[in-house]
Amino acid sequence: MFQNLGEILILLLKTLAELKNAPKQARKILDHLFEMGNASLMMAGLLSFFIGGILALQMAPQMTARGITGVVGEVIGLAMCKELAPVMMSVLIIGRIGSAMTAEIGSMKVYHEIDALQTMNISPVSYLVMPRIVAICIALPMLVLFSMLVGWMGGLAVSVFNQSAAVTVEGYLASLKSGVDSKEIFEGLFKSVVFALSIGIIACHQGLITRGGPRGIGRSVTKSVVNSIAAVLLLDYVLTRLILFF
Amino acid sequence: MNIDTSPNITSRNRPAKQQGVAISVRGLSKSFDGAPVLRGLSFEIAPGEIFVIMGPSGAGKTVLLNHLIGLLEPDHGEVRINGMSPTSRNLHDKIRMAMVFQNSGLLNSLSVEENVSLYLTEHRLKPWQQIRQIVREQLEHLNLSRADAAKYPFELSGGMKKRVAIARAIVMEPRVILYDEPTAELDPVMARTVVNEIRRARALLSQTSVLVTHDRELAFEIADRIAILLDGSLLKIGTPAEIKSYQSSERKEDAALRNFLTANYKNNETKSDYE
Repeated sequence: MFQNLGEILILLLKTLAELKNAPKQARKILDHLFEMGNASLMMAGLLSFFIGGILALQMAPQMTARGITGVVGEVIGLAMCKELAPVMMSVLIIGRIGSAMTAEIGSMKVYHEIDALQTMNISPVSYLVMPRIVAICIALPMLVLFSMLVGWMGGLAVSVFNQSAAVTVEGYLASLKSGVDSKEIFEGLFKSVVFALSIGIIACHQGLITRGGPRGIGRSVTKSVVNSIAAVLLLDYVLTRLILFF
Repeated sequence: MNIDTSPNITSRNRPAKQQGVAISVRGLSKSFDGAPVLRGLSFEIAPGEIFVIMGPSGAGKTVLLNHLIGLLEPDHGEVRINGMSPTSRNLHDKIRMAMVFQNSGLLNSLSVEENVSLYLTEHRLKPWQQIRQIVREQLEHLNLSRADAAKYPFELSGGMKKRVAIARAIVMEPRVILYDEPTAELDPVMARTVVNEIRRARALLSQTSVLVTHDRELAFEIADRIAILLDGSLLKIGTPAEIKSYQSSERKEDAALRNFLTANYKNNETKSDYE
């Protein structure tokens, strides 16, 4: 475990050192970005709408019963910004993108494609890892922003159409506007950048250390998904403590 | 055999003849999970030489090649390319080395043309139009059409993949080129094309070439010297004529070599026991 952590840290440092070559790899970064957006946008929208909707479904009637209907928008807004959008989008990205990254790099490792790159004096970190990390660090915050907006809309739709929750469109939006400001949104976006970095590095590292044939690739993908989810939840706690501290 | 000298590297992009690169291996040993694969190998390869390594499957030939190009580090001993370690990044900045992998090692996400041009485009060595021209000429030289250039590796046969891998290595204009089973999966006509290409590249670039092969005929035809590797140890190094002479040797100490050569000969039609 500690060896893996050390290797991940070294890979992270090497990737950061390769950032200077990002403009050279612009085409690859754009390709990855397109792939990530294409693979995730629809699902992100669906997931976020229902997360917002379920929150409203559970909370709005309870709040109405306690006479605090005026904070429904605020609670849903804050929950989406601070926790649900960053964490749920990260889980989605781990499943759709992180696993694909590990499988692709793992297969390249197993079938000697990475060896071939090395013999051509092409750094696998510069060619394979850095473009993916840059792309995921751009894609995830964008998805999180999209998720926040769609989640708020999902909350609004369910709150307004749920007869046991006496919430109006104007009341929901006013509550949302008063409770959520740019600081909360940036908090969520900051978390998502850190999550993206950890997901990308774990996925690429697991791909690079893949051994064996197809079974080895399968094992790597499973490890990558499990470790990434654990890392996101752990980092979420640490970052939340830090943000609360400041 | 006729050496095909028709230039696919045109006069405008023909590289200047360079000084050859010497390879030195001293006391090279390697084990995997405690099982020795290479046992104290020592030999020298002269600049511009075509050095062929023969041996049965599992003798450690590919592991040896991986050490020569720096993909593996020895447990004991050392490999030196013009005096430098192949694992040092410094070496690859100074001396271009290329390897043709046994399974081709083509990048599946890239087309044939992108695979062959990868080194030149990633290192931005030439303008794109010129790279494209070089790649097309090299592919044509290995009997691959423009339609093939647009294909992806998963659309190619094993033999085509091998030829693309050879094209990719040659367009790098390397000073050292390592071929792992270059004629495996090729029909005799294509094998001949590849042999011509290896010789032509050596003639143009003064390359030091190291080949690993099971193909006895190829080895005797193309090699300046042949090394026989058996169970991780060097059995013999010599010119093709010297090595051939051991098949009829009746000396007791030559028994292992004679057995290998005759088994290889005998089974050339019926596939070797060693394969």
